[in-house]
Amino acid sequence: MFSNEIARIRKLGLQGLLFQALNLLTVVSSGLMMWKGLCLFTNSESPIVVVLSGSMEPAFYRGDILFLTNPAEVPYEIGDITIYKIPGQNIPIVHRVIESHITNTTQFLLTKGDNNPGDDITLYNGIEWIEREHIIGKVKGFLPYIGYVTIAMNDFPQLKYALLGCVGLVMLIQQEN
Amino acid sequence: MYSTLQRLNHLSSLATTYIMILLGLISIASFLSHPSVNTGNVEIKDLIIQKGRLRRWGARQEELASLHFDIRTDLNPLLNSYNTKQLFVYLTASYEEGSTGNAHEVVVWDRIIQRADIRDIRAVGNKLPKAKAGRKGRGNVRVEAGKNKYQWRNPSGTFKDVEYANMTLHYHLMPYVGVLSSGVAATAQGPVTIPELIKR
Repeated sequence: MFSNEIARIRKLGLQGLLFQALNLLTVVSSGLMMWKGLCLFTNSESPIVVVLSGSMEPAFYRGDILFLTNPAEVPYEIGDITIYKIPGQNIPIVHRVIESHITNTTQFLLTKGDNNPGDDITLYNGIEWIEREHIIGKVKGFLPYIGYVTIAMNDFPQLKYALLGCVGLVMLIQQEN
Repeated sequence: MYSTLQRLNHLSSLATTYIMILLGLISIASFLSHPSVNTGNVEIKDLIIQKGRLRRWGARQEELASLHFDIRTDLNPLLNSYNTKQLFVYLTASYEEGSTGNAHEVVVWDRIIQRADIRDIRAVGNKLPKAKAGRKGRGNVRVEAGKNKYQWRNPSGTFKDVEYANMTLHYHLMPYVGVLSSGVAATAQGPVTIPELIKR
């Protein structure tokens, strides 16, 4: 099976191989460009996120996909569902704004998960209010279930490798036709 | 000709494309046909300011506002829309401080209405009755003498600087798929004046 492959690679030659590599690079870079373009357009460092916790049930379950925007000049409104990241913790949290206090320099926010009994002050790690600098974006759109794939892959790394292996195998088999 | 794998590949990619297009059309259609709501009434009763502490460790004593309220509104158009998964209904108080001009907005009460348990919401006092299984109603929201669920405080610790507050019932609509939307479900008749602190 592999002798066949090696023979084909020989036939491609250096130029062919380089061309293949270039093709691959184009795919990767265009993907990256689209993602970064979306980041610029929405003004959010990660415009598409997957829900990881059940604290917003029954609105969002684990594995739902959220689309975010973060307009720079628009203050956050009460009732908005924001995604924020506390410095020193690397998992972003999806919770609803329940208090907003606008002063002439900044906006102080307090959040709460719909499914939690109390507000988030215990999650803030010593900070008393959330501010714009902590916020990644607010939820604009919603797509259920699809993100569970990524959660499954993070929980079971074997699945990730199995998937990658399968994709590789399929590519090999397809090229023989 | 084509191998089984290729057929499978084509079929699944076609299926995903069409499902995505369908979902996109559904979200656009439901966004465009977003139903309007007749704004109902919020009545604020006995709003008082007292000294108290928040329920958290090391909380200082500050002025807290507490209130009773009646709500009467009809959210049927929203719940009858096919792409409504849940409504988050919340009563807010928005006010400005006289001297600094700081704008504040605070949720004092909220409630989740799920499509799965579409029913009338009737509440007397602080407790909300459990739904009877299998009984469907409409999205009429009737709250009588409801009490604030969250403690309403001002970051400065006092309400001296606040003359009045606007009380509004908002809804936040969660679709099955698509764009989230929000709006006003009920308003109070004019602003509510913030009373003097009750001294004990």
